[in-house]
Amino acid sequence: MRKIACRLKTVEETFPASYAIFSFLAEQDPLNQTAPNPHTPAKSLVATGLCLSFGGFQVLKEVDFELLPGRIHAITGENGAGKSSLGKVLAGLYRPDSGALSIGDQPISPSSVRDGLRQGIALIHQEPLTFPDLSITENILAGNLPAGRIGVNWGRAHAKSQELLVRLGSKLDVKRTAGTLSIADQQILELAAALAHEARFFIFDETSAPLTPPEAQALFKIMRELRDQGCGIGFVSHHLDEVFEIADEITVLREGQKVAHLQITETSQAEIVRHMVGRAVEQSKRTARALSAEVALSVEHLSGPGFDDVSFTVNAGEIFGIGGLVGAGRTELARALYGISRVSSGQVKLLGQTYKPKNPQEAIQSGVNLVPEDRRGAGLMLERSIKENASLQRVKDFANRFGVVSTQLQDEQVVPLLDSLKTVLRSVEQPVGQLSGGNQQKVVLAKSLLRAPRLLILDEPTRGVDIGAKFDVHALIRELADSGVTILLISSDLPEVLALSDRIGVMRRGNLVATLTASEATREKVISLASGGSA
Amino acid sequence: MKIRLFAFVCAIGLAYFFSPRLFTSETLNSILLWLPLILTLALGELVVVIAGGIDISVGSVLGCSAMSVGVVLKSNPNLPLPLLFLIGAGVGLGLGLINGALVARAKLPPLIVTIGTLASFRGLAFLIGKGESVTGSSIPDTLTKLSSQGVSVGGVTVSWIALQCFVLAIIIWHFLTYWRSGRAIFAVGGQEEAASRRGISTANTYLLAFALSGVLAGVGGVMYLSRFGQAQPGTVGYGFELTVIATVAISGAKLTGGAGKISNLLAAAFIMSAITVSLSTLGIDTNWQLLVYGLVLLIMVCADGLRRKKLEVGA
Repeated sequence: MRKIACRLKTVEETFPASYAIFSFLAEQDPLNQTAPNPHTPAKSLVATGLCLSFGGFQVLKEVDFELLPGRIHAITGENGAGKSSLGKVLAGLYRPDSGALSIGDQPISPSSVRDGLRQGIALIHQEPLTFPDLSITENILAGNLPAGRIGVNWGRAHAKSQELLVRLGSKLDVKRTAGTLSIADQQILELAAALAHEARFFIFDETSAPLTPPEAQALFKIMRELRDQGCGIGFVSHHLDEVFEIADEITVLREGQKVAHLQITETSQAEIVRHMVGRAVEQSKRTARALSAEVALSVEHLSGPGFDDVSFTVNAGEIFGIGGLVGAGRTELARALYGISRVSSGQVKLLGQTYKPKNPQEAIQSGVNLVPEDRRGAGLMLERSIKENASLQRVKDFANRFGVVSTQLQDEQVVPLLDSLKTVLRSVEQPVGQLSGGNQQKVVLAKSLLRAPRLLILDEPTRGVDIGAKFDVHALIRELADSGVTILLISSDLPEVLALSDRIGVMRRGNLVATLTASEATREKVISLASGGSA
Repeated sequence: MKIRLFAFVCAIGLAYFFSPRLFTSETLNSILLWLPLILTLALGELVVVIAGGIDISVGSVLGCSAMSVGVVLKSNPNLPLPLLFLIGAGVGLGLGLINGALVARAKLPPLIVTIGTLASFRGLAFLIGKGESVTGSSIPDTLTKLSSQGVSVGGVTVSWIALQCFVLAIIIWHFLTYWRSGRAIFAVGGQEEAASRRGISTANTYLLAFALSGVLAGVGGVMYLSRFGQAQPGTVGYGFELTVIATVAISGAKLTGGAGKISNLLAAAFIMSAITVSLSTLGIDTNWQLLVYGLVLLIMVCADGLRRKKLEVGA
């Protein structure tokens, strides 16, 4: 309450004229009432018999789901199991082929996100989007600006968005333009926008995936608060640690079907994993490996945009993990090594020779390949076929002397590779965009592997990839290293870095602060180095 | 904005060097004669550009409006002036809605759609006039007086038409700043997907932007009749899109959508009118004028690109 009083005071100073109006309005505003009205019985969002298909491929099969108010209900499953699709049907982004949605006894059939919002159902995306040129207030209240007598009442708008941000524990200045914000802040804006629409049901679609651990904790706190205020929270995720930390109940999907609905108190991670994959999976374990003495990559005092004075060496066939928080300069380092951005000082040697790529083509010719962090933006042409995407870097080799690409050659090379990656697809002619996240990532990997690189830079190779596919990718990375490929592994998934790397470099604010061997690296050590402590 | 200012000062300096007689109240009067047409159309173009689109067809919409009003005047010479503007705006609205529907509902790219309608609406202008021109005899004096008379201050005449376009600028400013649908235009142009996630109908927003551009080009058609006292289907508003888009570019509006300011547009329209007047005062023929407009547009686009690159590096 004191917080709110403080806020009103600052607003009073800023808009003395409109203060009286919005302080009155703030009292009237339903968003101010944190507890649900006890007189109206809370209703739940119910889905029965949902079926959904894309191009003849059935994504959801007869799925029943109930989102109770005041509960966090996790939707989990492997990638491609249909969990994101279920979330999107609930929010009105996808229309089901059959099946029904209702709130309480009231049937609803949202045909768009707009419709969904009107019914009080909001979808919070993994990749939030903002309006860089508009104020934070407009980022929150776009489409929902409070009207005054002569149009938008900006005083009230700023006050309302300020209030929503306070409720979400954010300290952003509502009047500044959004510009470039962290993903966490952008998510806060999407959440605030949903709150402004008076949403009662929130579907979080892998929302915590791109966040750093502290940001994810902040998000969970918000989710719990929303739950305690009587909202129904759907949480689409395959991070079982997170699911068990926060959810009250859990629905598991496998191949588009609901295979389990359990209370979190009466189940275990092992049981959920069994439901997800349909078989028991072993946790991946690191095994000590003998390494070649040949230095494959040597980085000396390298500085560039986002990183400063970074030095390390990697032996041939070694997996060198780079840990650190999002924004520590890891991706920037990878981009510089791949010739996307320029290095300002320092030098790099690749297999003893000076390596200074001006662009990715030169990097590729030197035997370096990058699997980018942002596979939709930088890695794949979503509308083109799997085959085209996978063979893109080698399309010249598949062409005859007139420059015509032989599809037969493409098939011969691409199909076995995708098979060996255990990619789930209907046909290599299928557009990549139809694949699930994990399978898309395998196509990106296939694209790089077709070049048979000597140094492979992997930036978040398993982000948004489910457990089963993740183990496949891990096994593949190990196999590649064993065959002599040098691997630079950038990942925010600490267990992954620890499980795969022979050595781990930890970055903090653009500097490489420590290099640890596999035997001395622990979760705690890496976290403390990355966030500013000493090992 | 610094580069713009520098370029503007250079241009004025050069013009003064070649022809000192440019700098008289007479020149200012000529600029004020051009300003209404350029500003009115540029207002509509700005709205479309902020929404993330582009409207190439404005010159042809102006043509259709001028021809329609001219044809109506031939048979009813005594229609009241406001009605003439309403007819022009109505024709513009109809054509703008066609553009809008093709972009918003059929989801076609605005550039291609309006290149198509640029040609078709020009053809329509011929059909409306049945191939004939609107001659001075059918334009009532009351209409032409809107351009030749107005408020005079010390030898400078601000015509009624110029005042009208300032009022339009204020209305559009108010619309863009205070109306929810106006803000939706910024949202859709800034990040279309983010806008639709927040429950804004992107289709309706595009439709509105193109409708507005049409209405303003329609009003521009009547202003054209008032200013020139005649209209030929082949030349009325021909090539105007270039001037108008260059104006919006000079104003510093983000050509990819999401940002733009009316105050800057006013300045840009003034600069553009000044360029037009200077070129003709200096006796530079029309073909060279086209070259100049084209260059101005290219320079502005380059400046826009450079600025964005700078921002990216800075971030």
